[in-house]
Amino acid sequence: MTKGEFKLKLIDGLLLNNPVLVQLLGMCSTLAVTTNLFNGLGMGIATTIVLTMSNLIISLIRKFVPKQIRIASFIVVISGFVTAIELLIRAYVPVLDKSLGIFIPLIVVNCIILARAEAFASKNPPLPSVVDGLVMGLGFASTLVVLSVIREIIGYGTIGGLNIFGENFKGATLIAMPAGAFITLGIIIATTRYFVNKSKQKC
Amino acid sequence: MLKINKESILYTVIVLTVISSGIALLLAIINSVTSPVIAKKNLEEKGNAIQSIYTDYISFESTKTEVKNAEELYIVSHGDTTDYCVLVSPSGFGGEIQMMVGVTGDLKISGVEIVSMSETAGVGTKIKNADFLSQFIGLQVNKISTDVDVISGATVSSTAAKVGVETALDAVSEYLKAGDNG
Repeated sequence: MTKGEFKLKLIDGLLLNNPVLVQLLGMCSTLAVTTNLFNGLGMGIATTIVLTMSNLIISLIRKFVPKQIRIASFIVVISGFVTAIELLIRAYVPVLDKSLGIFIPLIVVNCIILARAEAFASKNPPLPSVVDGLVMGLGFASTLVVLSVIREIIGYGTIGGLNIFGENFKGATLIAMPAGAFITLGIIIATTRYFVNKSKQKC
Repeated sequence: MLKINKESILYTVIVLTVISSGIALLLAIINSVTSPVIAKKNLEEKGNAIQSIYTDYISFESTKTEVKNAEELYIVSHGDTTDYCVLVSPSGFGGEIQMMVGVTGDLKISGVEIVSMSETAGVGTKIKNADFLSQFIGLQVNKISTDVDVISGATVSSTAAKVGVETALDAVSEYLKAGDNG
C-alpha cells in the first residue's frame, strides 16, 4: 500500500465514510460517553485498538471459518479483545475505568466493529484490514473528541477539566445531558455534510 | 491430502472450539498479569477512602463477616482508638453509588466518602461536595432523615447517600450486637 492510497483511505475514514457522521454506527457509546474530553478520547482509543486488532485476527482466520458460524466466531474474537482491553484499563488507567464504567464492556456490541469485520476484514487480506480498522477507528475517535470537546465547553465551561471561562460560568446542563448529545451530533453532521458537498461540487 | 468438507458440522465445531480456546488462552494470560495490579489498586482505593475519613489512621482490616446490605465492614485503628468503616453501595440515579462510611463505636457518623458513582455529571455528582457530606458528621441514626438537607435537583442521588449512611449504621450496630452475644 502506497502513501497516496493510505491518504485516500484516511480521508474516507475521517470524512466521506466516517463511521459516526456518515454511517451513523455506534451511536450508543457516541452519545453516552462524550460528556468530557477525557471520556471521549479514552473511548475512541479503546475502540480503535479493539477494531484494529479484531480486524487483523478476523482477516487471518477468514479462510478457515465456515460462513454458517462466521458471526459467532467474529463476536468471540471481538469480545475477547474487549475483555482484554477492559482488564488492562482497570489495571493501568483506573480513572478511565471509573468514568466509562459499563461502556467499556459494551464496546463488544458497538456495531462499527462487527460491521467492519463483516463488510471488510472477512473479505480482505490482513494488511488492508488493519489499515481499515485503524482509519475507521480514527474516524470514530476524532468524532468523539470533537463532540466531547463541544459538549464539555458548553455544558461545563471546561476543556479536559480545566476551567476556561472562570468560576462563575454556569454551563448549559442540557448540552451535558443525553438530549444535548443528539443536538450537538446533529449540528456536527450537518456542518460536515455542508462542507463535503461543497467540495464535491467544486470537483 | 485429506479433503476437508467445510460444510460439515464437525468442521464448524472444531473451528469454533479452536477460536474460543485461542481467545480464552489470551484472556488467561492477560488476566494473570492484571489481576494482582487490580487487586492492589482496589485495596489502595479503600485505604485512601478510609484515610480521608480518619486522617490519623494507622491500619484497617476487613471483618469478613456477613453484614446486612453492606459490602464490607472494616475495623480501623486510628490514633489510640478503634472505629469502624463500612463500604455500602445504595442504588442512585445512574446505578450503584459506592461509598465508605465511617462509624464510631458509639454509633455516630465520623465521615462519609464517595468511592465511585455513575450519577449524572454536574447534577447527581454534587453529592460528592463537602457541603453535603459534612452534614452527616456526628449524626446518629434517628437524625439522618431530618437533619440532612438533600440537594435540589439531585434528590434521588442525595436520598441514596442517606440510605447508604443508614445502612452503614445498621451494619455496625448489628455487628456490635453480635459481638456482645458471642
